[in-house]
Formats: sequence, structure tokens, C-alpha cells
Amino acid sequence: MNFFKFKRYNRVFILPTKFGSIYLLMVFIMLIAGAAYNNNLVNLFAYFLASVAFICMFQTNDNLKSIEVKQVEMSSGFSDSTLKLVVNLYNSSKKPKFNIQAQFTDLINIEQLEMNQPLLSKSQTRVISIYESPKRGHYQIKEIKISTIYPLGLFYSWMYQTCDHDFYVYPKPNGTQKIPPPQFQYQNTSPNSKNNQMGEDFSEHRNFIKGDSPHHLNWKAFARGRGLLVKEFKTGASQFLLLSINDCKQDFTEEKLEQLSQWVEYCRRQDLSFALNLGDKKFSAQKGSQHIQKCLKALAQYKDQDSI
Amino acid sequence: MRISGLERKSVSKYNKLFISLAVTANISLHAFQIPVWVTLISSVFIFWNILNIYYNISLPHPFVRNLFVILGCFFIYMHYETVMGLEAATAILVLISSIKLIDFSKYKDSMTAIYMCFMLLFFHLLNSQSIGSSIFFGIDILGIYLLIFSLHQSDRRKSIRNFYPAFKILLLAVPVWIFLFIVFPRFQTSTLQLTNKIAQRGFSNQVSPGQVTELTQSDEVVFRVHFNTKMESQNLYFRGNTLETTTGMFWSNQVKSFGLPTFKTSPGQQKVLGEYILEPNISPYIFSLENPLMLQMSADSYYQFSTGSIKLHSEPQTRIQYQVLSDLSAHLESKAKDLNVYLQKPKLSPKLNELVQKLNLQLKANSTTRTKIKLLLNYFTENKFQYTLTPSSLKYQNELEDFLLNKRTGFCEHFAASFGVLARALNIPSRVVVGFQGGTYNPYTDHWSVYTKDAHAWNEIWIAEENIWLRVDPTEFVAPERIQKGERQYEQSKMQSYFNSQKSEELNRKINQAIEMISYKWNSFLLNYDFNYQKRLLSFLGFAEHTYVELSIVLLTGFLFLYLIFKIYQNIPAAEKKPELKIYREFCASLEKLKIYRPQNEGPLDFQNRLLMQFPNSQTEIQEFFSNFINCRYKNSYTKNQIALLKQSTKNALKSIHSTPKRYSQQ
Repeated sequence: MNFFKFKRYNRVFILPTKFGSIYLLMVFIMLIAGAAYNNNLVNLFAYFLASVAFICMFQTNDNLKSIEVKQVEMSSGFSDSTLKLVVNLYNSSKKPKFNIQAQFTDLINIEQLEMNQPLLSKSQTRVISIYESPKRGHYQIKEIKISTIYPLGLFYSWMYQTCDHDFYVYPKPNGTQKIPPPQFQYQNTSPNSKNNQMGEDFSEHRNFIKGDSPHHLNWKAFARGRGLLVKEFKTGASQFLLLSINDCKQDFTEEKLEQLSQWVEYCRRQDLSFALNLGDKKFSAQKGSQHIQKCLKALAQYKDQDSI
Repeated sequence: MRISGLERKSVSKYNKLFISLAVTANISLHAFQIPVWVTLISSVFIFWNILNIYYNISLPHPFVRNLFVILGCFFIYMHYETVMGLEAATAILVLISSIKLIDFSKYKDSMTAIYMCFMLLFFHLLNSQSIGSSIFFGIDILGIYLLIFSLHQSDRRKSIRNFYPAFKILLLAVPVWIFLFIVFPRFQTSTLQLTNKIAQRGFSNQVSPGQVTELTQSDEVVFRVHFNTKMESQNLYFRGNTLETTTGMFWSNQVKSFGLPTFKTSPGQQKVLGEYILEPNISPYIFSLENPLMLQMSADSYYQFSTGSIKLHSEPQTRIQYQVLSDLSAHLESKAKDLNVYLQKPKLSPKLNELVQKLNLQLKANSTTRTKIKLLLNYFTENKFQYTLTPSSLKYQNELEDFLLNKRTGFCEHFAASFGVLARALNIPSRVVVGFQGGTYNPYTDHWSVYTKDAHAWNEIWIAEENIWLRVDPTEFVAPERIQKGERQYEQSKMQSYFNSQKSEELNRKINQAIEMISYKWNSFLLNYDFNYQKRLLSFLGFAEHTYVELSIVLLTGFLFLYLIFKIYQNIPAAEKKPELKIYREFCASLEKLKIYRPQNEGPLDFQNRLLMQFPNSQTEIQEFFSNFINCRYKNSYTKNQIALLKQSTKNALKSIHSTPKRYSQQ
């Protein structure tokens, strides 16, 4: 096991930073020079630097204690963009904490937004960091690394805290294929349907189910001996787009998924109803953010049957 | 250890300006010690940087910067013929620091520039250990740390309160600093030489008219001494070199009479123990009161001469501390065979021969040596010889005659040289001693400071009847005030009477004494805290005959102890001086037991509202408590009764809250 990966949760670790190492090297050189030249002022200087480093070590270590991760939120996104991680930290100690960073170490960090205000006692704050999107897929955040170099950047103190959050990286919208032509769909409505709209055109009969209103029974059919039948009507034809992986002309699965992702984005922008067919997974035609999210998640999690 | 994102962080204009100031201040320490062209180039880059900060003037291309660095290093190498010496390294560091100033927009560049300030300060302290340097060191280091703290601060509000944590760190570091200074092992290493950085003052192996005068142009401290008994200025003759070879006014030390001196002691011994601190200087001689019986010093080795002079192997490059036990009542002795060298007579002019014959005629056949000495001294006093701070030049190659017969005005070296020659002319073995006479006493620290101005020359005459060398100071007879006050004060008093400003003399003296006291304490404890001093101090503390292993254990134990103190300090809540805040804090602490936490930034009214929602049954008590608290806290003054009322309402509120369940849980 890699020594630096060995971790115990909620335990604070500390090491000198790059500048901290240079600082300690400077102290060492000054001590040697002070002894060689018998120069007490240089010795005093070296001792002072060492004393400040000694105190700093405790301050840096202490800055992370009593910090708890209350909430983690990583927004899902496309694979060619950036992802934002928002971590809610809570300070359960009596002293304010400064300059704390929270990171998800499995991704490449692009930017770490600084805390502009100290994290006061018994308070919460949000720490935001930006990451480069990995490949499409479903990811889980099992732990968050909290770190600090406060107050003087001489020491780097860090600890891991567990959490449970997942996010998706969708295929990037990319493709030149024209979106498939819209298709039409008739919707059947029945008296008991939740949709209150009743159509005018007769669509079909169905068998009587206990609870159906007797006013909608086809009595003529009953008189003819066909049993108890309920009439169903259609509201009219609605159009939707059928996005199917089989319709994608690209050679590779990833490119096909990117094409589908682009079509989904198009539908989102145009507020169009669409259905998605990924072979083993099918999503009926709908529109709205929830439907789009489900489809994009399916695209993110798609596994090529040939490659399984 | 990668600092994620921080290395790409930009530095604010505010921080850039202060970093520039810090680097400029540290570069200016070396401005006069490096080649002029390096100073000029650095000034150009500093100025360019300031223009960039304020007026967004574009900076030079990295290629230009690198070119300046390479060319600069090359020319510095050509100037010093090396890059390994302290001066060359300083010049290179100054050049690179100033060029770095025009490229520190990011965090790591700023930290690099700040760390260069540390190195510049370090180089400065290698060259200078004065109090002024130390005061600058204190201010500089404080500024640098505040700057580093500012770079790592999250709070963007520009307020001095933001720097309180930095001050706290520095204050907490002070006890650790003191502990390290006292306990960290010191080593007995031979010191390295720092070229061109020692004081250019001191006696050489010869004296001639003008040389002692030249020394008195400088007002630097040569050494400081503390005696174990009260001393008068007129008794303070600090011996340096002893000169025996003369050509007239010119005396030199050619004969090395190695060996311990022997003394003839008097019944009434007057032993004085002196603790000396000698500043670095070009003279290899150790100065001490006459008749040194015992010498204790940490220098590698030294020579003692039978003349009583003490000489080091080489000129002291660093400050030296030593102790000498002197017997003021004793007199040096010599063997008869060693006296011939002190009778060597220079060639005298006919007029001087005439003078010698005249003096001989005044002596009786059985005149004692002391009688002869008195005769010679009378010659100076009766012929109105004058002691002057500004002696005029004497005739070339006829200085002795010109002084004794014509000018008759001179400095101590004139009197000592001529007296020595006249004594030899009368067949009395004589020699000239150069050293210091008098000094400035500081009553606050009970020590004497001897300056270059106190340089002096006097004679030693062999008293054949007593077999002793007797100190004879002709200056004492010509200008007794000079001997009583010491040269420095004698000169100052002359200046004071000239300007008729005696009223300010007392104030000036006190100011000088105060400055001298600080300087003495600074030198004697701080700068001279070496291996031996540490050994003595640790012995005093009970660590006699410590080894380095034992010292390391003490160091480690000390650190652990400091760590414990620090942890205890961190857990001690701040004492609340205001009674209403103390009561409020206790109220909040009591609520924490019910897991009701008040964030630091939540005001009393918001907190009240939150509590009212959670404890509707305790509404009256809670409102009463907060109303009383707000009245006490935010009014200009309050009475004891109001505090008592607040205490009572606190109890009521807490009792009510604790007895009723919460409406819903609070995070």
C-alpha cells in the first residue's frame, strides 16, 4: 500500500510544504553559519525562525481539528466541461478556522476557491472547488480531503472524512448527424385516468374493472352479449422524437453516445418531448428536466453489450 | 506537498507593494557594500516594478530578465574573481532579488521574493552585529512575517485586527526563542575570517609622531571592562605593546622577549580583577591593566612577554572576552642581561647633545634614578611644554630636536618618545609603552568603555636601586587634567568650554551613558554568549559538566514542556473582563449541554428569536434575560443592580429552558 494513501479517517496529518522545506533548510544553513562564524545574531535569527515554525506547526494542525463535513454536493456535468464540488464544513470548536480547502482527490483539481471569511465557531461555510471532468460514468464520492496551510504556508495539514455522494458525468454533446424526424403518438384516456382531459374520438374497448363508473359502460355491447366493456377515447396525435442508439451512424459506441447526448441537449433547449432507446434500456417519450436527467444518466452508465 | 490551486493564485496589489518595500529595504542594507553598478541596476528594476504596480507599465520579457541575471552574475564574477565569497554572494543575491521583483504576480513568486528577504537579512547580520542592525532586524522580521501571513489570509477586510493571529504566533514564539538561545548546544569551533569587516583601529609594532594622534580621530569602542573594585580614571593604564628600539622620535618593537613577566610585589597588594570585552581590531594585542598576574580567555592561544605585553596569534576577528587579575602595587622586573636593549641610544644632534650635557651638569655624582627622572620632568614643566590635541608637524628628520628645543607642543607620543630618549641619554634604561589610558565610566552598568580616542603612550624607566620598572607618564606632568579625565572626556570638556555649553554637558553625558549601557549589556550577554558562557550559565542552573547528549535531552524535554504549555494555553478560554459578557457566555455554555449552539456571528436578538421558537413555554424568561443583557451590554454604563438582575434572569431562563423539552432539534 502506498504510504501516502494510508489513512485513518478524522485523523490529522502534517508535513512541511515546499516553502516550509526551504524555510527549514534556511534555518539549518543559518545555524551552521552562526556556529562557524560564532555570530550570535545569526544564531538568534535561526532560533527565531525555528521557533515560529514550531508554533506554526501547532496552529496548522489545530486549524483542522473539530471540522466536520456536513454535506457534499458535486454537480453532474458533461465530460468535456468542469465539475463543481461544494462541501459544507461545520466548525464545532470554540475557535474560528481559516483558509480550509476541501477536495475530492480522485479528480484533477483546476481551481480551489478560497474562503473569504473565517469559519467561525459553531458555524457552517461552503468550500467550492472546480475539477476537470473525467470520462463519462457514474462516480461516487466516498471521502473528502480537508486541508490547510494556514497560517504561514510552512506546513500542510490534511485529514480525510467519509461521505456518501454520487454524481454522473454525461457524454459530451458532440455529433454532426441530423436529429431523427419527429414521430406521432396517440394517447388513450379513460374515465379513471389521472389526466382529466377526455378525448372525443373513440379509440377502443377494454374490460370492465371494479370501480369504473357505470356511466361509461357500453350498454349496447352488453345487450349484444359481449359482456361489460368500457369505452376509451384518444385526445389526438402528439409528436415526439425517438432517439435510438441504433440510428446513430458513428462507428464507435462513445461517439454514438455523444451524438445521443447532443440530441438530448437539443431537445432540452427546444423543450421537445423525446424517447430514448439504448437497446436494453428504453425511456418513453416525455419532456422535462427529470426525464432529461434520467436519459443522461442512462447515457452515462451505458455499457456496450459487445464489450461486456 | 502540492498546494492545490494556491500556486496559481494571484497576488493583490496591496501585497505586491509591501513585498516590494520589504525587498527594497533589505537590498538597501547592502547598497554600500556591493559594486555601484549592481546597486544601480537593482534600483532600476525596483523603480520599474513600482511603475508596474501603480501605472501598469509592462514588464520586460523573461528573456531580458534572464539575460540580466546571466550577465550580472558574469560581471560580478569578474569583479570579485569568485562567486563563492560572502561579498560576491551578496551582490548576486541583491541582483536576483531586484530582478525577481518584476516577476511576482503569483503566490510562489511572492514567497520566493519574501524568502530572498530572509537571505538578505542573514547576509547583513553576518557583517554587522551592532544594536542598530539588531533593531532593524526586529522590525524587518516582523514586517516579513506579517507579509507572509497576509498572503495566506482568507479575510479580505483591510484591518489591523486581521493580523492579530500573526502577532499571537510571534508572541508565542518568543519563549521558545529564548529557550533555544539559552539551551541549544554551542560548539567550540575556530572562527572563520570575515574579510574587510573588522574595525580598522589599533596599535602596530611601532609608534611615531602622529600615529597615536591618528588613532584619537576615531571614537569607536576598543574594549569594555568591568572591575571588581572602584577605580579612578588616573589609575587606568591599559598596556598594549612595549617598544624598545628607537631612532629618536620613532620607536618600535623589534626584540621579542618571550616568557612570563616577573613582578616585585609591595606589602600593600592592590589586586584588581577585570572582565574585558575586546572588539575586533587590527591590533593583535590584548589590553589590560598593568602587571597581569593571571589571564583567562577563550582565544586559541596567545603569547606573553616578559615586558608584560600579551599578544594573540593573529588579530581578533571577532569579539573576545577575557579576565585579567592585575596587581597595581607591583612592579615589573627584568634580568640585568636583558637591560642592554633598553639603553640603546639613538644618534642625537649637536644641540640635543648640548641639552643632555646641561642636564648632566645639574645632576650630582650620586644622584639616584628617581632624581634624574624628576630632573627630566622638570625640564618639561619649567620650559612650558604644552600638551595639545592638534600638534603641529615637526621638522623632517629632526623631529626630536624640533620638539624639545623649538616647538615644545605635542601629543602624548611626543612626550613619551622624547622622554625615553633623554632618559637613555642619561644612561637610564627606558622604554615606551603604548596602550590606552582612562576611559568612560558608566554607573548604570559599572563598567568602563575605552575608546580609540583614549590611546596613549607613556614610559617605563628602570630604577636600578630598586630593580623595578617604574611607570612614568610625562603627559601627567604637562597636562594632569588629561590623565584625570581620560582623553575622550578631556577633549569633550575642551569642546564644551569652547562652545560655552556646559549646561548640556550633564544631559549629553547621561544620554551617552544610557546608550553605552545598552551597548555593554548587548555585547556582554547577547553577542558574547558562547560555549563557555553557556557552560557557566548551565552550571549555575544545575547542569554542571554537561555533555552534548545531556544538552540534547534537556532541549527535547524543554520542547515537550513548551508543547504541553501551548496545549494548555489553547484550551484555556479567554478571561472575560466584562461581567455582562461573562454571564452571557455562561448562559450560552449551559445551552450547549442541550446541544443548542450559538454561532459566533449570531447576534443576541437572532439568538433570542431562535430560542423562542424552540422553547415557546419559556418565552417570558428568555425575553427578560435578553432584554436585561442588551440593556447592560449596549448602554454606556450600568449599575451593580442591573448586573444582579441579569444574573437572576439568567438563572430563571436556564431553569425554565432545562425543564421544558425543545420543540425541534437544533444542529
